[in-house]
Amino acid sequence: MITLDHPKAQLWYPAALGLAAAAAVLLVGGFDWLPAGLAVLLAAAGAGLGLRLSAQRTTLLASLEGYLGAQQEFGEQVAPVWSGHIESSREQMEGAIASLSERFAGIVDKLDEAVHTANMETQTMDDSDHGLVAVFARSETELGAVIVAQKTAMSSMLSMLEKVQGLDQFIVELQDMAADVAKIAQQTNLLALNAAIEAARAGELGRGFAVVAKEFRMLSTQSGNTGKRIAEKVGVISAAILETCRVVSESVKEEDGSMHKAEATIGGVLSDFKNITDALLRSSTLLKDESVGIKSEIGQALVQLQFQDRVSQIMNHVKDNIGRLPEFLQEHQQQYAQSGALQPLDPQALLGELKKTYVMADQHVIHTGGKVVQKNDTEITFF
Amino acid sequence: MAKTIMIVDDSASMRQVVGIALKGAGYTVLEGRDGKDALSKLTGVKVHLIISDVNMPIMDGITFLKEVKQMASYKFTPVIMLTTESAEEKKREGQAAGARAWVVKPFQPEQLLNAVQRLCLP
Repeated sequence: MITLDHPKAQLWYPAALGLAAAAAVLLVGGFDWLPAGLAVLLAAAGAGLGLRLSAQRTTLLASLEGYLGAQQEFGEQVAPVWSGHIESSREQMEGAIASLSERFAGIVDKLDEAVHTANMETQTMDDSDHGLVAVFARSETELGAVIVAQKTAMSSMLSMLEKVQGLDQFIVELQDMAADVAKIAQQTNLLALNAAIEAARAGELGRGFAVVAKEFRMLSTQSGNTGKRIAEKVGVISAAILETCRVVSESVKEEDGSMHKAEATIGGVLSDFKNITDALLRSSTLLKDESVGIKSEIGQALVQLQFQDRVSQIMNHVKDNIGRLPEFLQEHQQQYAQSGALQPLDPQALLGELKKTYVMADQHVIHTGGKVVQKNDTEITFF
Repeated sequence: MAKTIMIVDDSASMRQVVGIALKGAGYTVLEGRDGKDALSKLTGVKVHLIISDVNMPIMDGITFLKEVKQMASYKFTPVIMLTTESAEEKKREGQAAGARAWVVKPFQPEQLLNAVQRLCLP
């Protein structure tokens, strides 16, 4: 503590000392010219010294008061600027973090929608009645049934063709039979001719027999013609059967080719469809998994943004404490003005006020110069 | 039907963070910027649990909690205080006012959700 006397006190101390010395000289030396002169000199020197000291003190006090005033002015000018910057930074940070968290929240919402849609799509694909997988299975079964029906029809046609081709043998038999008929007719005609000759040789007695022989020849001629016509018809039928077999055989060949082509095409379409379905299923599952992963990551990032709340509170406390600085300096100046004693600035007064505002354990640790240890667990107390 | 949880915090980002955790678990969220704002929203709507900050402008969390306990419709609604405050004295103050749990920020979402599931009204 520095105590400064009033300048007038500084004036009287040396003057009184000078007077006391002058008095002492007069007492010792007696009232003569020389002691008297010395006494006057001492008194004047005392007074002069007093005046000089008083002037020095006045200058010093003025300087000190000016210093204290400047100190207060310093606080009044600096503290609002510091506080303003802190508050501005706090507000900017709070606004930015709020905006950031809002955007993150929007992303999480959209991811939720994506996961929901992916779930719906997957369910649609997996659904037992209307899903893509079910439609594919049903299409595969139905198209397979079409192929089987075509194969059955083809098999029936081949069977029919074999039966028609089997008729060829009967045609040969019929042609043989027609040839036999023609041969019998020829032999019968020859026999009837011989009978007519024999009837002519018998004369009147063979006349009746000649009539029979004539009729017999006519019948044999008719039989021969009938056999020829049968052979002709059998030939036509044979040609028709052969043509039918050729046409059916070609048709079967074409049908078989078409069927194999259709089977390959259906197989290709089903394979493509299955590839697309599988790819859709895979991409849907991937989208769902990725969305869940990203959502979790964003959730964790948002947890980290909680620092803003803590930092904002700390900045508020520091800002308020800085705001107290001008008042604190003013109190210091007033205290000096009242007591005349210059007390040193006490940091504990301001720091004590700051400490009272602490809400976090970390703040107390930092206040005492300690180092904050990050905790991963949440501190929960149930009542 | 999803349960409704009210979040009371003057920090918009904190409301977002808590909201995301709760919505992700299937809860419906109602928000209040401070105690007074939150009280104005407690107008007959069914709230299964309240999560409130302590240090807030206009009306702090403890005053809000005391007000809630005076309301016939919400006196049995469990309240979790979610705050940076970790002083035992403050915790006792919260307990005396009727809080059911005291969670110190920062929190891990799954641990907050465990507390919510444990205390939420049926």
